[in-house]
Amino acid sequence: MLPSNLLITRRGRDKIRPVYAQLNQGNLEIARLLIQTYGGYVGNTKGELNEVVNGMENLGHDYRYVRGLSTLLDRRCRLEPKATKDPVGVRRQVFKIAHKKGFPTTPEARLAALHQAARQLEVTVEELEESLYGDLEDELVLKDFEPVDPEALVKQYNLSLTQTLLFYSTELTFTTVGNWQRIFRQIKWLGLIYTIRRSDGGYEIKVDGPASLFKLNRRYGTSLAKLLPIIVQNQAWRVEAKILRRKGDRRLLNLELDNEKHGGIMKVLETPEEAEIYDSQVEQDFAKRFRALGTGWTLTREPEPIPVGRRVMIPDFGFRKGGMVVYLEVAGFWTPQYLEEKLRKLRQLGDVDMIVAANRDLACQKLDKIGEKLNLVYYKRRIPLRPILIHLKAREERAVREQTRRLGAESLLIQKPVVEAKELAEKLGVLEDAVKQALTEREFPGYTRLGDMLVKKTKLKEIREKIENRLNSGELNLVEASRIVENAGGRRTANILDALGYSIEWCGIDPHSTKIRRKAKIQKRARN
Amino acid sequence: MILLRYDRGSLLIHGEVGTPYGQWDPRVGAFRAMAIYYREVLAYLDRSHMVYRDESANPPPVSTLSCRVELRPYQKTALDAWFDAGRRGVIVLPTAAGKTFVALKAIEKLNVATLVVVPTLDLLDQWRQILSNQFGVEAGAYGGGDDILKPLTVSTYDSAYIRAEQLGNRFMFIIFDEVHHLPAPSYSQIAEMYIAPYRMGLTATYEREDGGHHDLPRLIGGRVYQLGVDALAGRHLSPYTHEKILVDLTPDEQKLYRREYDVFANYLRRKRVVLRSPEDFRRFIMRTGVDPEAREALLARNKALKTALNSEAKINALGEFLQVYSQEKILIFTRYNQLVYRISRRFLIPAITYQTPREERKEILEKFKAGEYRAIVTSQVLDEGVDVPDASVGFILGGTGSSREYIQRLGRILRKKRGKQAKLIEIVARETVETRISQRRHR
Repeated sequence: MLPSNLLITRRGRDKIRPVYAQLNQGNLEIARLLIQTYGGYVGNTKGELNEVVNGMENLGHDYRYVRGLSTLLDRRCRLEPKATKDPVGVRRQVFKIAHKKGFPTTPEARLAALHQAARQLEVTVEELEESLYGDLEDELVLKDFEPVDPEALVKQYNLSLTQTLLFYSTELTFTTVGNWQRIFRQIKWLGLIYTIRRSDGGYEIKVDGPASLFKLNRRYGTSLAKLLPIIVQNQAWRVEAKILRRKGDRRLLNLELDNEKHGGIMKVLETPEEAEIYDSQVEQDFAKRFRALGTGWTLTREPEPIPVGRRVMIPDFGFRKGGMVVYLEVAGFWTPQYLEEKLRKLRQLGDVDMIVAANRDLACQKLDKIGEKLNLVYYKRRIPLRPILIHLKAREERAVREQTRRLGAESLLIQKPVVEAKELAEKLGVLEDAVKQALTEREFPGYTRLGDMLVKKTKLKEIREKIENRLNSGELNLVEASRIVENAGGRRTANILDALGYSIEWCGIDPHSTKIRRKAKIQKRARN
Repeated sequence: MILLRYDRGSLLIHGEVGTPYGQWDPRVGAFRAMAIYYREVLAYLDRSHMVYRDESANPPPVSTLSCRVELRPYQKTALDAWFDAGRRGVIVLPTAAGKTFVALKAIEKLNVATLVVVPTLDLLDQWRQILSNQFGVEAGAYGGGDDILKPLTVSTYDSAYIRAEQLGNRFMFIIFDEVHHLPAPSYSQIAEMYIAPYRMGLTATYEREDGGHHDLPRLIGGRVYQLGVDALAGRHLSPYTHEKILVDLTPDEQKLYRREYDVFANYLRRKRVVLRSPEDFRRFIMRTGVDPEAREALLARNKALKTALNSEAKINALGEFLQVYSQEKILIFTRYNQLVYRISRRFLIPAITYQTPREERKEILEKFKAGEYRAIVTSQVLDEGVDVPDASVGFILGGTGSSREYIQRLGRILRKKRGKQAKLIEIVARETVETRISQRRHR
């Protein structure tokens, strides 16, 4: 965050945005120059450093950009008084002596007073003068400077610039994809209020404060600014804020940011693993072991907030597969009341499927009664995979059964001439297994089932005609047959050939040297 | 059953009821009202014969408070007027007329948890000292790193604003010292977010140049009593004289001043910029953000002004005066810290600026009161409220054109003392913008 007089913005009719420093040669160059200057002035006073830095404000850049960078670099400095003696003590002594004799209004009287004080403090007059105000900021010595990469500095500048603009915000709305618990904990800690709303594909959270109800209020701007870094740490995010730039402004201005346009210039991107922040070793260990199994279930940390009444609940993990979601909540220390509360919330949630993993060692009481109502898994040091896999498997089987039944009952409109079970499952948002099962159990008028694939009967006929024509004019190999099938919109040539009553004769492993033959039965029928 | 709760600076009213003082908050599913309407909401519920439970107020328990203060007749009139106005409102008395005593008496009479809000850390220390001396209890403090809640607590405006969410329901009586600070957009929220039904404002200067004082009746109640300096000078305040000394800049300074000021003046002429009102000036400042020439002009103007305000000639003139008044207690005011330190080094006079450590400030003020130090040089930090009883000579070597600042600086040397003749001496650079600034402050 920067002092507000260093804020650079551009405003449109009803929009406002910070003027970001692009990561171009010129901007990086001045950042590098500043960093080098700070590094080179270790051992000099802050006043001397300031002189040089002030001079750099006129090198053709916006002075507010240069000053913004130096504000950030100031925070990387360790300053110490150079003085040999404690300045406060020196002043006490000097003023005492000076005021006993009356103000020294002549240079001689002044020097006499200083000499006396220096003698008493056992220093020279020069040292005394140096110490007298050695604790003023300009007199402090730069002892240490923690360098930074120019690009990282410019990105930090851009983030700080945004935060500075958010000081003037009255509310902030965002969507993102992770670190939910930290975000909501921070919202609560900052004394803000959120409202959650479903938006396309996720949730949108609006944040303001208690008094925002009464009038436009920038009181929460600083708190909203503090929320920004956690949000933009995620891989995907979008932030919108209402800005009241000046008191008395009639119009609220919109600030709109998203990771695609602004992510790259605003922060040091972390890898997805780094961006996942774990509360405990137990959770991290579980995620690692589960992912190593390759179950087909995707595991996400703090997948999303689930609205419960006006509040939200953020499960620790979410498992996803073919439209199914199962949540896992890890309870380290717990009491029966805690589980009761979880249960109460879960009832409010209706059909949410949640497993609670509870640490047996930290349980204050055994409680099998509630355990029956909850999907409770006990753990000691590690969360066991087995009961969770069993739960997921059961869930999957249940889902397959249920979906199969549904697929069997619903009328399915298929338009494509050729469709595979996998495609169909994705399109319908169901499990592949359910589709496969449904294919064996029901008829699809006008279609023939070939393994996991449905092919329109008219399309099969078309392909057969083409192959017959080709066979009539000479030998046909698999490569060319594939081309014919695929040109006609078909797939999985071998299956189709088989279904149409052709066999493939292999001579070695080269598909070019294969021969497609009519199977005996078909040859007979063909003759008829 | 209706339940009243305090929620981070506002009142939540749970139950089947609405009041005219708030509105439905869909975010939490309850009625919400500004904390300032606490008294009105309770009165409304009582009037409507509704049964309610009030869990909003949470003040620390208070023992019986008594102090030894005897009020002067005009102080007593002021306090009565405040009680008559419903224990709300602003009392306007000149600096050094004993506003503090009126407040102490009010605290004693109300005997409830009280927060005193002050603008500076010096005043924070001073109020804590007075409260514990008078009532024999330790006073709490918020500001300058302190974080102590007591039945009697003192806070800076900044801390009272920042901590409003947590502190807003802990006091029944709130006193705003130097209340002209309150009507700022941020600080006015202190009045809005605290439930305290009893409210008192104290100031020597009720009016604000931006008209902000029109908001005071809503925030804490309007002016209930006023007395000007002239009504008290001589009898309750020291008589005073005011002199203005014009000095010539040194030849070098004059050259520098002209050169820099011309850059500024030429720019204004060329671009036909007129600077008459604060609004004009604000627009000009905004322009410096986009127009490098405007920025150059502004820098030149500042440099010229600094040359005038920090002139060597003024320091020399000050030196001569210091010899004359060597037996008096002296306060020296400047506009810029740079000059403070130059004077401090030159005449070995203790300096107080925002950079002075808090402990050292306290020590300097105490030694000044005790007579060990005979002078203090300061920029703008001592303008307000700090009690320096027997300072008799004030020098102004630079300041803004604000008449409030002038009145406050004057107030610092006017505490009544037998036989004291106070003097305020302005040292102004001749033929510079400073002469105009000086004229403005005497409006």
